[in-house]
Amino acid sequence: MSTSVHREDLAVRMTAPDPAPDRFLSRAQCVDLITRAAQLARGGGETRAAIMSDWRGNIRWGRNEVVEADDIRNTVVRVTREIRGAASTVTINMTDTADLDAAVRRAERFLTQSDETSVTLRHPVIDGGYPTPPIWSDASFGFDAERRATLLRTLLLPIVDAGMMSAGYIEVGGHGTAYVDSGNRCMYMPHTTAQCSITVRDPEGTGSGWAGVDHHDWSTIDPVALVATALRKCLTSRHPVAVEPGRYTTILEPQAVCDLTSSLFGPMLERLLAEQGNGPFAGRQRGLSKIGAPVASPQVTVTADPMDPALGYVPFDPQSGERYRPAVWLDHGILRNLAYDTNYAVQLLTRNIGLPTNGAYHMQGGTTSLDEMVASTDRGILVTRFSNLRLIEPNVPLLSGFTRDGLWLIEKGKISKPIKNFRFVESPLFVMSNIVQMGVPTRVFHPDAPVVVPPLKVNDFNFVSLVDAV
Amino acid sequence: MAGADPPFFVKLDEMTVSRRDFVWRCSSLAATSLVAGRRGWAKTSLADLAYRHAERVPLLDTDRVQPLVAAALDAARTAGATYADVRVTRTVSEQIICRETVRQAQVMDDEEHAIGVRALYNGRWGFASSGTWSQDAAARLGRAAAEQAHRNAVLGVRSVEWGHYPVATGSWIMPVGIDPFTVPYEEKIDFIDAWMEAMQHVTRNFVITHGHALSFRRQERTVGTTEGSYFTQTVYDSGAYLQTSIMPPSMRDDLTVRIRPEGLERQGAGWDALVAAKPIAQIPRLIDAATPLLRGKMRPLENGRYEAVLDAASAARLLGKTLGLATQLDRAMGYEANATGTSYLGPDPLAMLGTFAAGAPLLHVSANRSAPKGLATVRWDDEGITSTDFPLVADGIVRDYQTTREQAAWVAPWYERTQQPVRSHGCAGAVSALYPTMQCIPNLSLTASPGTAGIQDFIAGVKKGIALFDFNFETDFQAKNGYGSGVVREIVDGKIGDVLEHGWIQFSSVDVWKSLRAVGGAAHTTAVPMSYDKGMPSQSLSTSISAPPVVLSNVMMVSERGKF
Repeated sequence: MSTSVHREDLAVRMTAPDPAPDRFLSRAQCVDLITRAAQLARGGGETRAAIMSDWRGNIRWGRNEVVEADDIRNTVVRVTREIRGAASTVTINMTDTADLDAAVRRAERFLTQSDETSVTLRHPVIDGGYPTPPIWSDASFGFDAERRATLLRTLLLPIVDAGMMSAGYIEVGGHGTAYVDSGNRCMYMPHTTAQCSITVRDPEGTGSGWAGVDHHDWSTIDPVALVATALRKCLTSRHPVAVEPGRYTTILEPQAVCDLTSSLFGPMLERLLAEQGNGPFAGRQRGLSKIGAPVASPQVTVTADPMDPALGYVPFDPQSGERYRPAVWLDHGILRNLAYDTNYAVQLLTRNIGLPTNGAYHMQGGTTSLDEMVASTDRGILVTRFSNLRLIEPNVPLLSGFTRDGLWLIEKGKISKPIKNFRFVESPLFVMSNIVQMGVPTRVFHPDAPVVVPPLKVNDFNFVSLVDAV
Repeated sequence: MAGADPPFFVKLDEMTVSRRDFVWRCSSLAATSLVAGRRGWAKTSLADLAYRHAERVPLLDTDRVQPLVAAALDAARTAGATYADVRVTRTVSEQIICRETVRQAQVMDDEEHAIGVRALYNGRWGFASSGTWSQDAAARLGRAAAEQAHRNAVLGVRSVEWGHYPVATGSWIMPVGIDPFTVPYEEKIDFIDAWMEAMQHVTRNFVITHGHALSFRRQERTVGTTEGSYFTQTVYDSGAYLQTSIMPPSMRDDLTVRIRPEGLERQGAGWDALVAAKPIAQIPRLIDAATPLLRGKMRPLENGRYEAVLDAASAARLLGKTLGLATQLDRAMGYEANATGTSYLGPDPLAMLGTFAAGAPLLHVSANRSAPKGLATVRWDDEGITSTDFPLVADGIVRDYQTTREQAAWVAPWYERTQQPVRSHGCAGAVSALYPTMQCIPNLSLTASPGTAGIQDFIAGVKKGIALFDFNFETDFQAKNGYGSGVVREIVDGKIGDVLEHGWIQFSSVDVWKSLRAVGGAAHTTAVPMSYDKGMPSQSLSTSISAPPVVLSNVMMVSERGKF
């Protein structure tokens, strides 16, 4: 990185006014910080930097009373120094020049631990514009502490009237995310986040219901509807009865589908991992993957695109500078792509840009409603969500975990009774290969990265043992 | 000997072991030149960057912090808080990760400054935090926390019984022999390199893969309150993960065995604790334990109930995942219901005290914040409470919960009935000042028996059963039921036998501890780290759990592989 940042290279098309600097860093502040860091480098080589500047405001409650309300602000700066292939990174959250100097010095010190290498690692180069998804919401940024407290008073009323107990969490955030490459080119994206989740429980401990969602725009979240859903699930899940474990036709609500499949579209999607013979997408021999092979039912198509209006996320990874491009992971059940970085692309694919993943994904669906799925089921189980998932066999992959916050038996096309929770052992790929019906995709609660999935009705879902936890 | 299996491994030369130990002892005490010279880094131009010597990360000058605390408290008081506390933390951490060669070591270095203010008004809490250390920023946080509390008060007045405690003043540093942040990188890299070289030497007929890491964390924490408390403390978290996976030339995946030395788990200790574990000296013993696994003498586990001997690490992890999670009072009361879950010791935790049988009469579980090398060890918690050891379970009956100042009052009727003071157990804490204070899990201990029994004694006493080694567990959102896996060996007539494949334990937390038949002696106690998530926003915290080996008379084992 040279000592001056070329401002004309900052091809940022802002979708919102430069936000108030006291909550998170603006573009100008990020540029100033990175310029100061670059000027401190000694010994030549390259300097890259990432800034993740965050403000979060929240309110949290339990037993129908506010536990606390927080205002948290933090700016993380990652400085990478690289000299002839040896690289090291230091992360700090201080922005004074003296602290930046100490960080750059430490990064340079760590370089002595690595060999210089003749293999040139290729890093992403910002060579033009980049997409700017509309992921800023004034409604999120302006949803202040007073409004949050006032809203909560409204939300608790029906729960208290019903004699139930609730715990929940509402959070909004404003963020400035920047990456500057070794040529002084900068990507910056201001964006907002919002989430709301509620658990309603019977004070006797016999029933529990949950509902939640996240989005960048608070105005799309209907907390009153979420409370109504969680309350309904609590009331109708009380006094569950035991049903024999086994394989069942199972209707998975969208949250359950996300809980089961999200691990598949994150680190497991790495092409290098698969070609080394690891993970569910490894080919029959080392060096090969399952790209081109069917891995799920033909009904399943999974994509990711920061400009997808249903998703919408920062179009680059600030820690590596990799840009998220539109990707088709599964195309009618065929594995079309696996994720890779720029270095892999250049060294092995003769391409000049990577195809990374941040865990966001959009699974296409159908038109069958949940009621239609239930009505067409002779005997089955309806699942709200899963919890405490653990990967027990990475190459299948096999997951184990527990159902939670509402589980019902379906008999002859009707929800007949609430049933006790199960532990399951199942493979998300097996589930996606046994789809009977798909519903309309919807956004779910997954604050790490946006996820849109449909409800699914699947055959032979494997519930291995009863658990009497509520 | 005729008919004996040929040895798998090359004998590790004793000279090699003692030479390694000598190198570490020298480099721990003296300058870096011995180790750096051996590496020959003078030959590379990178050395021109002139960082041969360790750049020590000095402990913070506490005079820098006091004005921040004062500014924040003044502002919170002025804005109407009836109580406020300020935490200022500086957290430095370092991770060194190596795979196949130390020359591809990945170093992650992190430093975080944080200041967080908590304010109370009419029973409502407000919290504000940031990474900016300045008096103006501290004052803003004090005002913001008080304003948050005021806004929450629109939801009505709430009663908080805060209790009366002595003012906490002073400073404390967790006793460690060598601060890991004063140890040169060369020495840390060599620690890993020596292990890799030794394993390469003894396993030269095998395919081996390496995955090694060192992790260090040091946090300096200052707390000031409107009650007049002001104290500083420094805590450490050091650990090494040296794992070499070896696979025989047959390349059978299911015969891959992981060799991992003991004594390197994360602990509240310094660099000296890792060196003192002498991982290379453990290799002959580890190989003896691994050889039967590599010889492929395995057979499937049959589903059923067994008498089971658990090694100390497995017993500690089982304790952590069951009672460790369940005895958090806020969780039992339902405050965590929307996050990690509730507790099987609820929904009325008060009714459980003194009556609920959480295990057999042999089961005694205590909690502390003082155990040497405990990850939750402090002198004061974040509310200035000096904790004393306290029982959670005695004679199998639930006797108490993990509490903070506010939470102690929630079980006051129990304390009054049993003539105990209504007093916090000092469990308040957070990952750093950036996050709100909450109730954290203290160090936990399964009390050893007065005897000297160890795992070999227990195995000898089992006619037909199983032994569980290095098991890990997962429990549900109430910590009520769970499952786990690790290494299962058959016991026949008091002797260890074949490896039983794909065996998983499935349990109810209450039933598994009710089947406790024997507890080992104190000499055989081991401590393991336990990481857990809690709260919203989620915080990832750690504590230490210690236990001796135990015998469980009736555990359910299932063969998971057979189900697919």
